[in-house]
Formats: sequence, C-alpha cells, structure tokens
Amino acid sequence: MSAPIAPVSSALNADPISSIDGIGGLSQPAPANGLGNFSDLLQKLSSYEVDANNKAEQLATGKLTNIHDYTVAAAKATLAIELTTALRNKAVEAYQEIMRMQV
Amino acid sequence: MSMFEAIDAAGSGSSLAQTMLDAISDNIANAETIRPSGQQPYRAKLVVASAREGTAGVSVAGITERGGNPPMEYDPTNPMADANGYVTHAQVDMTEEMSNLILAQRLYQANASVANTASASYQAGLQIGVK
Repeated sequence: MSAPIAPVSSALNADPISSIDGIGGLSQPAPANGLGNFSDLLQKLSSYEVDANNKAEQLATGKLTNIHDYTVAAAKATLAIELTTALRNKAVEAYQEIMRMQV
Repeated sequence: MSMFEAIDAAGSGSSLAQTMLDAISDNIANAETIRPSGQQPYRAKLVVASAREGTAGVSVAGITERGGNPPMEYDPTNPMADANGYVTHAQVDMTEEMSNLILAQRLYQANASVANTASASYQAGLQIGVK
C-alpha cells in the first residue's frame, strides 16, 4: 500500500502575498545647471520663439534699429525648435522601447 | 550662462560694430562742417566699448568726442571767420576715419561669422544619436 497522500494543506494557511510597495513618488531632481527642470526648459525654448516673432514684427514696422537682432533671434528660435523636436523624439522612442518589453 | 551664449555675444559685438559705423559715417559726413567762431567746432565721435558684466559680450559704454585743437585756416572773407580772420575747421582726421571704417566693417563681419558658425555647431550637436 502506498503511503497515504498527505492532505493538501489549506491554501488559506499560505502566506498571504505581502503587498508590493508602490513605487515612491518621483521627486524632481535638483537641477544640475542653471537651466532648471524640464518644464522650465520648455518655457525657455518657447520664449525664444516668442522673442523671434516680436523682433520680426518690429522689423516689419520699422522700429528695429539693429538688423542682426532679428537674425540672431531667428537663429536661436530655429535651434530651440529643433532641440524641442529632438527631445520629443527621444522621449517617444524611449516609451516605445519600454512598451516593446515582453512581460 | 544662457543656452546660446555664443550667439548672444556675437549679436552684441554686431551692435557695437553698427554703432561704430554710425559714428564714423557721422564724422565723415561732417568733415567739412565749419561752425561760427563762438561755438565749439565739430569734434569726431569716438565709441567707447566695455565688456558686459555677468554675461558674455560687449556693450557701448558711451560716445566721447576727440579733444585737441582743430585745424585753423586764415580766410577773412568767409562769413564764419572770427575777429582775426581765422576759420575753425572740424576736428576730423579723414585717414583715421577711413581706417576705423574698415575696422568696423571687419568687426561686423567677424561677429556675423561667429554667429553663423555657432548656430551650425549647435545643429550638429542636435544630430547626435539621431537614427
């Protein structure tokens, strides 16, 4: 005769799964340089665009005395827009990479 | 340090060069200005530049006038001559103004070139890591 199969212990005695600690709220890291955190950066980049539009308007109405003020502002606005686009592309790429992970 | 400080500094240099061009053209236009004897003669304008505090670049500190004695010419028939028959010309040295003109032009072009090169450099930096 085979040994009697030990009774299955009640599942209720099993250790309950201890609750997983939630990921702590992400705190804003201290800004490493003078630029500040991410939303400040976006504010600054959009301010370059606004400045270029103002200078273009002044140039068109004849109030701008220095021509190079407008071209410098336009160059900075172009760089700011390209930088914002690069940031967005990197963020989307990182998100897609994470979503591709097999769970 | 602002983000595009090189371009800002180049822009301020261009503003200084433009002020220099304005002053030089004023001087050359007034090179033959004769004033009546009671008044100060026309003196050449000189632009004083100073480095900006806290940020890169230069600013115009002020515009001074050249001192010294202007050239006098004996011309008693001139209605602007003084009691002794001397006429006071403008204190403008044409050769110096022309050489300053070339200097201001080169300064403006150099600053514009710096702004262009800095802008191209930043754009190359933005291409890093782009697939």
